Amino acid sequence: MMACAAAPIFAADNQAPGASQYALGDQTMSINAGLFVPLFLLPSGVVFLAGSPPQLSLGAVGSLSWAAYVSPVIRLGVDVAGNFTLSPNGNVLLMLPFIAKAAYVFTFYPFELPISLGVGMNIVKYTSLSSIDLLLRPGASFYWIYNSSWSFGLNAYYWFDMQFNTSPSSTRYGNFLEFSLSALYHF
Amino acid sequence: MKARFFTFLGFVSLALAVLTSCTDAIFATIETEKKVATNTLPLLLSIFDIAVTAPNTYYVAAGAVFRGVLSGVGGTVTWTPNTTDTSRPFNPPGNLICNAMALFGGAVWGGFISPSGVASLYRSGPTPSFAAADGSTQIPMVPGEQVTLLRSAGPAPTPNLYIGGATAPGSGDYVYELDYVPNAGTTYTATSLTGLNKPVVGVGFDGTLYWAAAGSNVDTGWRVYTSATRDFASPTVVGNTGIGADTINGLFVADPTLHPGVVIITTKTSGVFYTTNSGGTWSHAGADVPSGSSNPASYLAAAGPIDTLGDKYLIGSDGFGYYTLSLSTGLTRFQDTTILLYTSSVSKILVDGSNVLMGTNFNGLWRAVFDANGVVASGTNQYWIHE
Repeated sequence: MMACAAAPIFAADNQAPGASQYALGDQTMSINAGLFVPLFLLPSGVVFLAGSPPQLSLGAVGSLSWAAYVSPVIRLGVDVAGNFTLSPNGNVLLMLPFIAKAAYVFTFYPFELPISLGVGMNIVKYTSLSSIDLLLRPGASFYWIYNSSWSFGLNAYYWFDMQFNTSPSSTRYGNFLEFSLSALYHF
Repeated sequence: MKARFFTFLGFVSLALAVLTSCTDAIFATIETEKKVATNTLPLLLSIFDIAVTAPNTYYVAAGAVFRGVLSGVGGTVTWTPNTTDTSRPFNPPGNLICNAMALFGGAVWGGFISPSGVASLYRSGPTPSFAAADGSTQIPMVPGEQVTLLRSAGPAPTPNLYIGGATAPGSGDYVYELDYVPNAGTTYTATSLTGLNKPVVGVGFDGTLYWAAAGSNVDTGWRVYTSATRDFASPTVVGNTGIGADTINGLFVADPTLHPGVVIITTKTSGVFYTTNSGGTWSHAGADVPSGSSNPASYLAAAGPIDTLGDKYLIGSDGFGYYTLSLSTGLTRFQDTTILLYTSSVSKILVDGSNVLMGTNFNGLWRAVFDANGVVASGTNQYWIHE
């Protein structure tokens, strides 16, 4: 009897491969931190990390995420992030994006692979300049499901920041990469 | 259905409005940012005065006196360091603080204050140097008087040295005066501008008149004085500048042999006032209110011209870098937001041909080369260098 009573608990931690353990209404929260890599600007083609010193240095990124499952494999949520990099004169480029995100979660127990697309606004600050840009952030994550509550893994996101300007010649599209560690809590 | 569509359209429009309403060209700024070269002077100096003593030779009063020699056009300045209290070449003994400096009569004159508050006035030896071993001379001063300003002004080749003095009475506020050393002299005497309630902030000669900006001995306001004689024996108060009751921060007179009659006055809140005909008529460039500030820029210093036409002068501001004053089109702020000079307080400016040195408060000394059109050059060792 006791073994039968405990069966659901064991079932949650010993999930069949490919089967999602989540349902509508389940939620997740995660904390992420890692490396922010400036790539290049369009349409000028300037490569940020080229040159000595480079136009932008490698930076750091951190974020908090919340999502809710709308189906066993799809979750919708929001991300709030922050990152910084340094210019040749040591000026700090700060970004604070607010992102709406949708993810399709492939589960290969004990691993899961969310593929996501985020859209949002990115508040960018540099010296006395500021901008609110449109941000697209596709990406993928890879998690090891530790138990029914916790998962740990890695994120890889591509940041496509569209900085429009009233002067068309000053409009730029920034391209960046994020590699971050993640701790995910299911509840 | 229609209501949802229009609601959605409204949200999209609002989002686009937000996205395009606050969009400085940050990426476009970063992609062209150049690293500012630095040199060997401490980067956080406060510059009290700058003098050019010979071609490509600069003296900077920044606590101690620093001497620098420029290697040539597009070259670098080799600064003699003041590394310890006992290793201060070109300085008088006693760890004195130099707060004013001017080239006059083939020597450099410097106003100094000791750590205990004792003021002194030195005339350099022939190197030039204020070191005792190099033949410097201490000039006797009126007891209790401090030097606040040193300027050489007057008709070439016989200018005078003007000394702004401050004396602390037994009680109450400082009392200010304007003294002078006549051409080739070595001792000073007072002009008629004595007993003033505000310091002397500028002295010059425009080819016809002597000019001074200082307080008054009648009230606590500021005055602009002119005089036909070097001793300001019967000074005229200039009443048609338009400055009103604002604080005068500086007065600059251009080289009269090249640009006679040009006088520029910088104020605390009212912008810049200038004349090109010895005060016959005055023009006014209103103070800029920089983005992010609710107050008008305070302008501290002026120098120039920096272009071959004699139209452009440099104006230092308090916390907003420097501006270019075109006598024909007005004030334009230096636009490079990526370097520290953009937000520095520029209190001293020296124009030496195409070389420009700017002294700041707590952000050291900056140097650049300007081209014939009054624009900062962009080549190696020509764009702004944080010395």
